[in-house]
Amino acid sequence: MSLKSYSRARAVHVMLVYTGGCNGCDIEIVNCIFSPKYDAEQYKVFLTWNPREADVLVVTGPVTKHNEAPLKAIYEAIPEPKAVVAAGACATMGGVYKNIHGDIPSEEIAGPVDEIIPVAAKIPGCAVRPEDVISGLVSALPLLLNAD
Amino acid sequence: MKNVVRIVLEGTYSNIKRIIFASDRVTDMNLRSKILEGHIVPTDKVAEEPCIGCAGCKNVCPTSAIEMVKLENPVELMEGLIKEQKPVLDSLKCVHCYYCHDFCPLYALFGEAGTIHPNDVGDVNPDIKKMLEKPVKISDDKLAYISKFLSDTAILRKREDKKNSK
Repeated sequence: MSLKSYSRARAVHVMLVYTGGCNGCDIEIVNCIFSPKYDAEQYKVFLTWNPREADVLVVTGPVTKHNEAPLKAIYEAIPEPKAVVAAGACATMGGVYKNIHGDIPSEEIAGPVDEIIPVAAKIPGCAVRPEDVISGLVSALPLLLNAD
Repeated sequence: MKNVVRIVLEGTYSNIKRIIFASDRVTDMNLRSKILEGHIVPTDKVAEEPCIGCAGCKNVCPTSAIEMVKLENPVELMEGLIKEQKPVLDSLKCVHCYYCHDFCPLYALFGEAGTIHPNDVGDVNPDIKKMLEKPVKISDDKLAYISKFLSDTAILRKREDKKNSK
């Protein structure tokens, strides 16, 4: 365990990016980190809005055409090692926005997320369950800590 | 001034309690140990016992996230009705439109909880035998509406044409 991993294990920073969904998953994820019941801060996981500070990028929503370039810019700004988590039905496969009807794909959506940036983990659900988010986060921590 | 001092003292006291005795903590310790040991499992999407295996949910699903799997031991629900298959829902394809739950005959015709739900079925224990033998009154409009969806071959045909054209 190097000094980098030791210090990283004590402050894992999550950055949340909203790319045009209905905001339900954002509320659930912020709720997992800040609320007294789920409280991911007890596992030393914190929320940040600065990509240079982040270790994990959590993306919610289908990626709209307007959000495609900013999402790529944010992904490139995050230092290695990094992991991307797609949370919710929209981020995993487009959700109701891309699949308005099963046969008619929507034209305003550039997503889902894994067509734009490489995704490490997908969380299904609409909206996602806080238990799923936190257990996924905890299981993904070794990926970050064994990087160097 | 008195009030300010009182607020400072009260705040200090409660913060010291929080730091030393971990008071105000409302995390469920059971949940916490489950998370750290990796015992969180996804919720059940299909209630396999009361399901009658009619494949209505599969036909109505807009993204074909539901597959029917053949049962090893077919169950006879009543005379002339044998359950041979059960639905399996793929959460990574599901868009959570709730059509499968809303067009499940147990919900649409009998008003009970449906046996498939994209989030969580919960406890569904209707008495199937009793329900199927009881005569039900359904208006013709409702029957036409439901059957339009449950047996809409236009959608199925379109899908097959797509497959053949590839």
